[in-house]
Amino acid sequence: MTTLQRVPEVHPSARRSPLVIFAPAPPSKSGIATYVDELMPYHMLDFDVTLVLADDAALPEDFANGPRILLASEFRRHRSCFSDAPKMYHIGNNPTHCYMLESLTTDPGIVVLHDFNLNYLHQSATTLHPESRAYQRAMLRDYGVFGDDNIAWQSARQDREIFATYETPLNGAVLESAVSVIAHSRYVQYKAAARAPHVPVWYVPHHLSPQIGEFAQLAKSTARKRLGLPQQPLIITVLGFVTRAKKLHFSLKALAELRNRIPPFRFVIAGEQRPSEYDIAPQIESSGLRDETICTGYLEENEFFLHLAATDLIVNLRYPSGGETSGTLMRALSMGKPCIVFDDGPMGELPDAVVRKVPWGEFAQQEFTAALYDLLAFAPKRQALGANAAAYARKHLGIERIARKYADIVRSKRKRLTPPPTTGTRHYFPSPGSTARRVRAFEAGTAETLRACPARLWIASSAVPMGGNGRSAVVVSERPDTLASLLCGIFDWAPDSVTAITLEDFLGERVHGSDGRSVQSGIFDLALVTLSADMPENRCALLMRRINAVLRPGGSATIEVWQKLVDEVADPPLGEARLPDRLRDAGFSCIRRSSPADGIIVELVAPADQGDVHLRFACATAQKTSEMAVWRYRDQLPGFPAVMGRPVVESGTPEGSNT
Amino acid sequence: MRRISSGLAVLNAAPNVLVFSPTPTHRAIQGNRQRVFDMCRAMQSMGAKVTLLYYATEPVSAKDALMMTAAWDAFEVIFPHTLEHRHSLVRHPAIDDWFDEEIAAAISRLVSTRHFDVCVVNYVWYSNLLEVLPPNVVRLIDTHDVFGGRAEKFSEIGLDPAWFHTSVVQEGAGLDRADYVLAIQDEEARLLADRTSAQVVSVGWLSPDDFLPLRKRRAGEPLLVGYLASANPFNVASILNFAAAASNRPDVLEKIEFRVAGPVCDALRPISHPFQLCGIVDSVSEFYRNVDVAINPMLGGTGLKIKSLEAMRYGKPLVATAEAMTGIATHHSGHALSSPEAVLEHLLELATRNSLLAGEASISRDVYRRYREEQLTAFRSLWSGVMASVRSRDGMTARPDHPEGVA
Repeated sequence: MTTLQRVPEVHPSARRSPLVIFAPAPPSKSGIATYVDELMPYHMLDFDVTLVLADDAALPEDFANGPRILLASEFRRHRSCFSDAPKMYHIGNNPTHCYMLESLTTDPGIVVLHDFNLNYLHQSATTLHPESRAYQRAMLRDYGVFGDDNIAWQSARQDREIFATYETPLNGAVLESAVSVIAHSRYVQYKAAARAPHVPVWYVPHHLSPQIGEFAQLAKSTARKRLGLPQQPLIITVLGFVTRAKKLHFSLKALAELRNRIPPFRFVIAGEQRPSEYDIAPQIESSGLRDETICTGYLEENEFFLHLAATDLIVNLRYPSGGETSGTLMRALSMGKPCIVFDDGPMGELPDAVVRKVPWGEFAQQEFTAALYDLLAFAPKRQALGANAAAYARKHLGIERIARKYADIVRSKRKRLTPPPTTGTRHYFPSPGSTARRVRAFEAGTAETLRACPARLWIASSAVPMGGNGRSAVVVSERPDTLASLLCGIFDWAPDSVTAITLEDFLGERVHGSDGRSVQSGIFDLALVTLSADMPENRCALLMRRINAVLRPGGSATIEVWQKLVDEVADPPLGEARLPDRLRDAGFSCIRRSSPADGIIVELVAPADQGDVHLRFACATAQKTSEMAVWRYRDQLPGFPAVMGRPVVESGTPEGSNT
Repeated sequence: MRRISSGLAVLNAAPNVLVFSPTPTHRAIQGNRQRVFDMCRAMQSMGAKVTLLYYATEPVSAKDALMMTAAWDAFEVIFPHTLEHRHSLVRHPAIDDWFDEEIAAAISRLVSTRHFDVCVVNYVWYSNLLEVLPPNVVRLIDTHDVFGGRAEKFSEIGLDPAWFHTSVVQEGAGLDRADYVLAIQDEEARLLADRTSAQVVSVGWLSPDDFLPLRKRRAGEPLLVGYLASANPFNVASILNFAAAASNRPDVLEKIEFRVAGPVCDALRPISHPFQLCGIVDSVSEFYRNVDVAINPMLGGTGLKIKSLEAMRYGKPLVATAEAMTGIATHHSGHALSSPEAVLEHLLELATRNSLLAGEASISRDVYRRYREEQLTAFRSLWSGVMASVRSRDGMTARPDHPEGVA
């Protein structure tokens, strides 16, 4: 808690409802830690707050006046004590938030999304705990086979951050497990709502820092004196970590161009540099502005505000945007500093009168140079912009107002419309010996049932998991009742938990079970499907997508296909060799092929007829990892564009993607 | 739930079988491994609980060990005390010369804590372990081959008797320790029946069929002919002979491409030959998937010719000598050729008349199906006898058993 905040004290006997907050806290250098710390006194007025920190986090110095603190491992041990307490997760795209990823799914709560893009968070989680494969799992989950391909592509490139960080935000698991989401900009609010349509997404602007009270009245000359900066020249400042996205080279190029047209200036780069990730020094050198440029390195909170007070103009460019709202910009506005930003992402939402916006595009550099000249050459324009900024911040970003919004959201009844998707429980595949004994223990008509079964490699090779309480299966086949009967009898699936559907019905316009009721998506633990491998390609595409759709995340699909040994179709769409790749494309992983050699000898249990002597059977089992199902057509069909996820319009019309 | 009331009783009353093997079952890259695997799987399919006791004479990877743990109801390993073998007799090792006392100790430990109804010993020279078992355990020896008089048979064709060999009398003494002796083919069963008082039963290859579709040949593409074999002396002699014959037939080599895989490749590397060598392949089925025809130009040899059965198991047209089909009932002329030259002639005909391949593949499938049905019948009969012996020794009269399956 900062010393400057004036918050009414709460009486110790007041009964407040509990609130568990997962967030970093000072002395962590994270901006989110400061943000949460500033709001904490207000939260503590409203709630009995427990703050959960990472196990390796440095502990706050002021225990007495702060909230109750638990480490993540302590919280896990005592989580039953907090089962009824609402949880709030402050998620940002950096390693200090990795510890929240597990709790987000086990103890869902309100997610405060400080960054829309969480790619680096997952990369960091993998770096911290390689065995967790957090990044790979998240990529697979959010982007299916494209995620898998992308990882392979990234690992083959040196410049992977350019693509990986901004194009794949990797926030699916976080958003979909949230009870509700808080965004600091409309930009993120709309994107999050589109990504997780069942989850309410609230807009709560970034608050005005209480610390500005001390520095807002500080004279520029005093601040410069305390920092050792010259009094006369104009000072243009870029604040925060030095990253590629902050486009410092725009400023260097513009200032080099304007050098003889504007009064003397200093260019201050006020923030920590990480040359291993992005080295700005060569660009300063080549711009010829070495004497005019000052690099401060990391700034403590106090120095940060002094630099804000000392500056004439803040340059706060950001492209591409990870969806983050700049805390630095909010502080600059509240201190009445004129700012230049790109008209893109959350910063583009600010009124035109409050910040100077430069459109991002082909002529961004020229536009920026012109805007910079305008503000540096004409002091009244700077002063007007700064005054507007300060008025806007005081009117809209007051911390008490923001804290009230938080409290309202915590108490709000508006939670997600559907419960978070539950991941299927662990699957237990029986051993071949166990399957053999179960088949033999099945009733006297086993042989007849087995003979009537259109495909039985799935039985012989124990390719389906055992049933159990609360588990449900869908069986799709030409003769689904026979398969369902064997599934129940041998693998212990409860008959009322198995939905049997003919292949024709499963691929119909609406999918309904034998009882005529519509089949829900995402509810089955197992899909057992048997079919001929040479089904038309557009129907295969639909089949794979529907199999994905009916299964819950983590659900198991077992597909058995057959083809004639002397076949008219040379390479059928769902042929044995293609089946694993088809499953991978359809959002499945852990793919296991079964061969007749792996399983029990069915003839010793039930002598076979000779009807299938000219057929070859192949079976594969896989686990649903992603909802992204893709079908790669073998040939581009002339006249049809690449489409993903559109329903089949009419029989014979291709759908899915042509990749 | 369609479950009979006695279902759980059947599950609980499964006979316990101890299988001793000096070769692992995973990965089944050799004929003997496949044999042990098939017998274990067949017993499991009859409802038995199989404990595999592996005597680690061959290296196995952690992955293979995991697969064995998953495949069998229990998996145990004994590490050899020594791999140096005694040679007690002048001309042969005695029947127990390769027996390791570590095995006896391990068996004693095992039977002191667990009950076994049946014990299967692979290879006759480990039969000594049967002496350690409690008297009520039904004893089987799976012979794999005939080892009594093996040295003499090899020397007749100028080869050294690689691996174990002993005298006919010694082999008989080993076999007498069992209740049932398994031969891999009828001819060997007759031979062994003369050497032992135990009941000799012939059970051949039990692997399920895995018929592959024919490869699509493009116009003008050569016929792809495959041979996959281990480096046993008969295989080596046969392929060298065949290489010599093929080298003299440029007309054949123009239309046919030969691919050789497996350990037998090592024997071909030092000499000039017209074959493409693939070495040890990761997947046997992929090897067969990518050839049009399989061959087995074998001359002489002992035991069952697993190569021939394997090719037919994958549904591939097979061109073989008569000796390569010993123990396999077939009337197809392409399965009874007399020499390497005759094999080459037959292949040439297939290369020029592509339409014949589908018919030859169909013959392979039929021959294999018939062969396997016979072996499954023999196995059912054997198991029936074994279970009867178990019941009589346990004094049990109503132990649940389904020797004929549930049909």
